[in-house]
Amino acid sequence: MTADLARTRPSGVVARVVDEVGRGGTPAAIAARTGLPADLVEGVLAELVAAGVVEAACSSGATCSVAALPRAERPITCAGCPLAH
Amino acid sequence: MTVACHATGGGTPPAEVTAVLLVGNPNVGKSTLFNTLTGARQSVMNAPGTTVELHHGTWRATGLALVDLPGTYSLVPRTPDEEVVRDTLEGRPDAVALVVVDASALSRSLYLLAQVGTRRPVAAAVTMLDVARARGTAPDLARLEEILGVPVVAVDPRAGSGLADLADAVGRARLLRGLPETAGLPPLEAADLLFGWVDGVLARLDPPAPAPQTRSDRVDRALLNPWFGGPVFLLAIWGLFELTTAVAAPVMDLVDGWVSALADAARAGMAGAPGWLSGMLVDGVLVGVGTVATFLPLLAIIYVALALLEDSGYLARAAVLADRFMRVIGLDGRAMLPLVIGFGCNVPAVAATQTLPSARQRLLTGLLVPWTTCAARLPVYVLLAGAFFPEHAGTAIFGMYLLSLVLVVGGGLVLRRTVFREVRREPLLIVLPAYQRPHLRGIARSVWARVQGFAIKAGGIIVVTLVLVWLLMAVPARGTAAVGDDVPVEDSLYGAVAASIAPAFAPAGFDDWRFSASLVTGFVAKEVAVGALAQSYAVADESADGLGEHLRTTLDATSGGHGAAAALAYMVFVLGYAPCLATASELWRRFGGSWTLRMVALQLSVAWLAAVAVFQVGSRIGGLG
Repeated sequence: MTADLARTRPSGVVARVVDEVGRGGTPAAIAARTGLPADLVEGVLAELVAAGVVEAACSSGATCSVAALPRAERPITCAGCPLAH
Repeated sequence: MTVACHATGGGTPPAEVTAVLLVGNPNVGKSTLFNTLTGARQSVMNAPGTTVELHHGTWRATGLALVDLPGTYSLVPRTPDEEVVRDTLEGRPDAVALVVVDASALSRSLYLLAQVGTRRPVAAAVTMLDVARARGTAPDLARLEEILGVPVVAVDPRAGSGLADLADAVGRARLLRGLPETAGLPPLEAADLLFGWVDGVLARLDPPAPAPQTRSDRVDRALLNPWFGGPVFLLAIWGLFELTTAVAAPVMDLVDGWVSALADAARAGMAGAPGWLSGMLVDGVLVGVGTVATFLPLLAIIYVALALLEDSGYLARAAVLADRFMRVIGLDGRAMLPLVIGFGCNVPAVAATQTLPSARQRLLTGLLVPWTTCAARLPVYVLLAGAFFPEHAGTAIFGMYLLSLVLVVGGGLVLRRTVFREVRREPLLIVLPAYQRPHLRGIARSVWARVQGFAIKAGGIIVVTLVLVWLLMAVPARGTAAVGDDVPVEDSLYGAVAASIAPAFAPAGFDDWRFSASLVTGFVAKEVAVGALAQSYAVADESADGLGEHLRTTLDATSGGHGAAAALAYMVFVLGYAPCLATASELWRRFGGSWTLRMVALQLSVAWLAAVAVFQVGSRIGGLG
């Protein structure tokens, strides 16, 4: 799917982000390497995660200990994680 | 009041507007703006067919109906709230959209604006300008309006500034200028085009400054570099391996000592009870519970280590580093951890498969784990290698570890091409989280819950099986002893079972009941296989010098003078034949009885074939017997 996108993409923004995800990095690092704004990268990543092209590390955490905490004690960074609810 | 709209290319807006839909990302001040614009003239009702609340009101300054839609980042819905936003926009062609744009996160707001603006006239209300100014990233709104071709107004809903201009802006709402055609495209391709448009708008507006590098990113530059991060990853793997051996083993021995002392005390306390009763309760039930208890510290240590690795964010980095190697057998980088832990102990390794995201990958990894040669198999290798290859014992043991790797990789390749054809072939694409401090309280709670789960579910299987093994050893199959007496092993039902299966090992050169009995006992726990051999020979010294002489005599006889080849075949069989009882119980708990039984059958078959091959080849070449 990623390869198809890279071939047919007219803008290349998504493919650039996907390439950098493959190299490994946080959204901030991907923004720094692609030269794209950090919030644009976050937006692209959100669509890629929703489409199942990339994974968010936090959503794969079956061993994530946050899930064992009462909801009120979970860090705010976990608010978007479906497994933390 | 109605408001006339003006079209600029790309579609035909409605001639008259009767309503305004308030759209925006979450937490951009949209609801505050709605409250300010409507005052008390509002009501709340559920969106049709959902429990999602929609706030309806009347815009006091214009008399237009105003609908506050739930906050969303995209019109490709992932939640019921976002579905309501999409459906409401599609179901209200009479309305213009007032998109609330966050000046401090302009890209994401522009993306939503683009999605909305492909279908209907829009105007933009820009909030959070104070935040953007403080960061030095406030956009030039006049320039933005010129680029977008739609009205752009700065508002501060709390202070009430910009509201008058907003009413005028809605009256001038238009379709966005220069948007790419996305109709009919798959969502991701449409998103790519729109993100490209956003990137172009930002570049024309004010080329964005390069994103600053965070501390996490600086650490990642080292840890994701194969030349530095690779050795660090291996060090982390070695640390996990050490935890399962050097750290956990003394704790397990300590618990084992307590269980033995308790068993001795229980035997003494039940001196007057019938032999079969004390035997079953102490050697069956109590020892079974003790076996479960022995594993608990090991599991707790591994669970803590895994949670620390995951919570800190390092596990995701390790997965990226190991991914290229693991993809060969259809697994992602995260499978490396359970497989490495397996070389220490298979039980926590099976438990560690939970770090994998997909059920099929967890199953495939779980099936491969028993082929990693755990530390409990080492005493068998040391005894046999010392007795039969005294000059090359180290090489023989190393060969077992090498064969273990071959079985894992080979097994993975075969399973991937047969039963697991659908498992992934794409590289792992994972967005790394920033490094963070682990949540110790959460770790304590989750470790407790998981250890408890093992003790209750897998523990039950272990205790029942050990009681059955005790029964086999307590019931005489021949001789004069009665149930409850001290039945010699060779006279027990257990000995009879071992003798009946021994001929199956004739092609592998170890057709002897004592060896097959040790394999049966080894299923209960691999480390007691050596003890079982010593017990069968009634030898107290379990070293290569003491017990080894008996083994050489037996295997030379059963193999036609090729004792070394038979010994090697026995070692190979011990490596591959079946998971121990605790591992099998954990496999059963996680993957079900059907897969566990299939795995045991597969392992037995592969181990038998490998052992036969080793003996047949070894006995025909010089130097092995």
